[in-house]
Amino acid sequence: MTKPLDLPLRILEAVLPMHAREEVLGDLQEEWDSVAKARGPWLAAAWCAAHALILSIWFATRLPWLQGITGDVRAVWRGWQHSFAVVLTLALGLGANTTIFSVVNGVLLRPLPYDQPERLVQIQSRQLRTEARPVGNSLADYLDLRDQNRTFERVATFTTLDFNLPGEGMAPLPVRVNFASSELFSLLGVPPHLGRAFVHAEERPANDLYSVILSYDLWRRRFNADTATLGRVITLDTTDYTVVGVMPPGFRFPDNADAWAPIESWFDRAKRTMRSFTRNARGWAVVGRLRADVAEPAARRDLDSIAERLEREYPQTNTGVRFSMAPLRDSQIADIRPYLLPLLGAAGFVFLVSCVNVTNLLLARATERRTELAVRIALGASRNRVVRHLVVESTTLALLGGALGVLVSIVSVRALRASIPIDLPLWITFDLDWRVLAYAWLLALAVGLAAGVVPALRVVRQDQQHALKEGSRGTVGSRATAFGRAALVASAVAFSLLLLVGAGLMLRSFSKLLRVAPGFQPDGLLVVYVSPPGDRYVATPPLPAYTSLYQRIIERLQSIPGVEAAAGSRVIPYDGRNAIRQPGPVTLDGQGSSEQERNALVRGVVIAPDYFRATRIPLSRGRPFNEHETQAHPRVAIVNEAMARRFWPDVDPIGKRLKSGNAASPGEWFTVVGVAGNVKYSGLHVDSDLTVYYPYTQMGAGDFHLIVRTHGAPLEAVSAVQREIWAVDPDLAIYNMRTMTSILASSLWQQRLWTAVLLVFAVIAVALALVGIHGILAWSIRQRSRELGVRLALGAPPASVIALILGQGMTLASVGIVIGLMASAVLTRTLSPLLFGITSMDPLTWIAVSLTLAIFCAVACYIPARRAAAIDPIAALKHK
Amino acid sequence: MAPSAIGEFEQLVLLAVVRLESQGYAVTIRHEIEEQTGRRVSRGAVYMTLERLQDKGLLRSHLADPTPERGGRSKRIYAITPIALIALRDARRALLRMWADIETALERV
Repeated sequence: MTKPLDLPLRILEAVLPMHAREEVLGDLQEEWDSVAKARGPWLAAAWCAAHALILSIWFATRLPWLQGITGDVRAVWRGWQHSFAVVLTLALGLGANTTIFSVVNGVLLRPLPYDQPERLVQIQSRQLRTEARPVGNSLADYLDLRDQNRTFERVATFTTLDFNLPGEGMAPLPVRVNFASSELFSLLGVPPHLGRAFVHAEERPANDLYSVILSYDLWRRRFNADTATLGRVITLDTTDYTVVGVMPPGFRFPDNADAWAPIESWFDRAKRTMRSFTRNARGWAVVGRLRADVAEPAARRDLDSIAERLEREYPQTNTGVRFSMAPLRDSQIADIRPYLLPLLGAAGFVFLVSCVNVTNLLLARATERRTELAVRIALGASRNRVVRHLVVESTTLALLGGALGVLVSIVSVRALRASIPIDLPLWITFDLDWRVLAYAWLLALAVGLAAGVVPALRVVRQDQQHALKEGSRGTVGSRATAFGRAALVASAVAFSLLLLVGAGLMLRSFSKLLRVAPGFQPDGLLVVYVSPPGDRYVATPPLPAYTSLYQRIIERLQSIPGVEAAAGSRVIPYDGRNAIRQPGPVTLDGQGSSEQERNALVRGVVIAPDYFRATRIPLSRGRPFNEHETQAHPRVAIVNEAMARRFWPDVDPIGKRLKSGNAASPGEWFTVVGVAGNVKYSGLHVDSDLTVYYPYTQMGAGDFHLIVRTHGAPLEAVSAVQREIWAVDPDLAIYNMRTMTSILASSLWQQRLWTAVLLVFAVIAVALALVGIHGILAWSIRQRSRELGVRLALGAPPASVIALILGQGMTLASVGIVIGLMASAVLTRTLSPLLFGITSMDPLTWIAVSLTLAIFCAVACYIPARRAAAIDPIAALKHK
Repeated sequence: MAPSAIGEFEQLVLLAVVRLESQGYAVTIRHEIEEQTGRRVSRGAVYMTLERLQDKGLLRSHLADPTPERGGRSKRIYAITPIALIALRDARRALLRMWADIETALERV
């Protein structure tokens, strides 16, 4: 026969008082025995476990110390309104804090998913003479860097390009392929999930096929996670590769690559070698792993000496060029980082406001109960018992608040994640992890203890006689308590004003951003990105292969009913990739290089002729391009107004000549035939770039954004557009079809999201502060009800009572507002880099926010004030 | 010592002890109450009440010899005390007096 389950019996034995053990355990065993005989051993075991546990609870609740605590917990439940307010306040504060902490954790704290990520750095080049942002490196510079440095274990270079992965009977899949030097995987220190990483010998493939390594995600999506994929030959565009490995799940270096191929395979396609690229083409990302025994300054010195050597050897291309070095993480989170500190601060202030409110609520309760506690102590309750009661009460509340706060943050982290588009590197995930959880609970406990212990100590230390007497007079609450509470409320108002100013600034900046004229008409535009197989449509020469492909596609797109115009462009406004396609120098005929002469870089945009008509960019002078301007004709260009004003301020730019690159570069001269309106290619928040447009019929175009202006909703044209493109080339992968308005909206996601988050924080803080003001006034009215009753009984008009209370509340509010304004003057400076069109001292925002808060405070004061004026003097005098 | 007033459940437990002729222990006492009253009685309540009645001096108990079917543990046998008998008698009397003349009235309701 089986024995009854041991653990429940052990538990029961532990909670049973000594004298009852023999009896209760024996009885249970006896009954188990009869149940086992009647219903079988398994049911009996379950029966016994259940009853042992029930009895454990019965006896546990009778344990003297536990009985005290359960009583305290019940007391929390009895004052449920008060408890509810405390728990909710804490939950909001903790929720806000935990949510932002999860983001900070995901972005800043969680280590990059590589081996010893703290030693990984990104190396960029920067031109000392201009103030341009650092850019990538040229391949030749990379090779020198790799071979000459003495401080890096490994240095790798890579670039990410879009490819089509055709499949049998499936639509071609767009894949992002990262072309990397063979050092990359050993540099990152991540072994493949299956197969092998690249070996150095990849540079000369044995069987004429280069290797490719798949991401786990692509392997699952396209190859059903079949291990037989290893060794298979796949085709990227038109080049065959052998699959040699699959990376582990989550590995998408640098941010969201689908596959990795040796860099040499890319040069082969272009029939070039690494050395054959000019040192001017600085588009390659370089990552390095510092040697374990090398500190950062030494590495910087090393990089500088290499750059200086290159400058001496290649003055044409490397004059003034230096390498800059930054932790790999920093380079990946550069966009989101400036928002995090202000947000973390804001969340901290929300938490502070909620703590202030909780402390206030607990203090109010403790002072109101002073008489009750004094009576208890007088009747013989031990002081320890009373202190324990208060501590248990506030800890319970804090833990409940913490639990609810974690719930709030689970929900809001989800919401936050859903509102972030895919721009972020995929290693950034915002999950609540143990660190975040621990942080929340610790905060909750700290608040509970702090808010519980302070009033507890006060109660115990106080003179009981005095407290009893005070209670009988109805003037409970010392001057110090009243002052403390007032200070707390004023600080809550100050914090919430600070948050409100921050949110107001962000909101106003955002609305200014939305009102910026982009320079073209975004609504009604559908944008389709295509990247044709390079080997089938080789870019240069012969040019016509691409040209005729796009000519045919654009013609077909124009014939779709409901399409007003169709065109194409290599660059579209607000595209995240624009950051990679940095503007470069141009040379003006007779004026030298723009970079040297005027310190100016120009964005070159290759377009199809109808581009201006489709986007409705106005041409202020001259004419658009036409289809007949081919390579056989003189080169033509159109400049934007900013460029015309900068380079030809007093003369007509039409007929002037320019070429791409430095004075020494071999390019041909282009004659300006038109001047177009300014377009904010790099984003609404930056000034228009100097822009020069070239016709694709003369410059050629590799990948292209096809742009379609429709009469109706652009998304209705999606299937027709897809059909017409595939009618021209069925192997062409179509990358995300989007409307221009959605591109515009997603380019603003950071501003939109963080403004919304800050606004939510501010609203929570203001609500808490108002509850605080209301609470302290209501409390003080209760304390002074006898006095107010006397006033009214002696004939004071109710309006004077209202004025009295309103004055009391508004004094607090104004003190809070003034302190808040002072704090804002210092702290909102951190928002400056995020603001557009206003400074952090924007007077309109400051005045509007202060007035709004003052009005809200007045309303919060008026409600208890009116109640005070309606006090029945007789009842108030009889009270207590 | 004057017997203290006893609650309803206490009465039930005391009566069960009497009915079991001072040979009852927790298991049989609970069974007896359940059988006679037709209501479910929790084990915990029985133990608590037995302990309280001992504290009040209404019951006394001793441990019997250990038996194998109880895992080698002893039973606690409860016996009624003279005070309990007085208390029960008083309670019964009080109840009967309160019931006198109204039983038929209640039947009619």
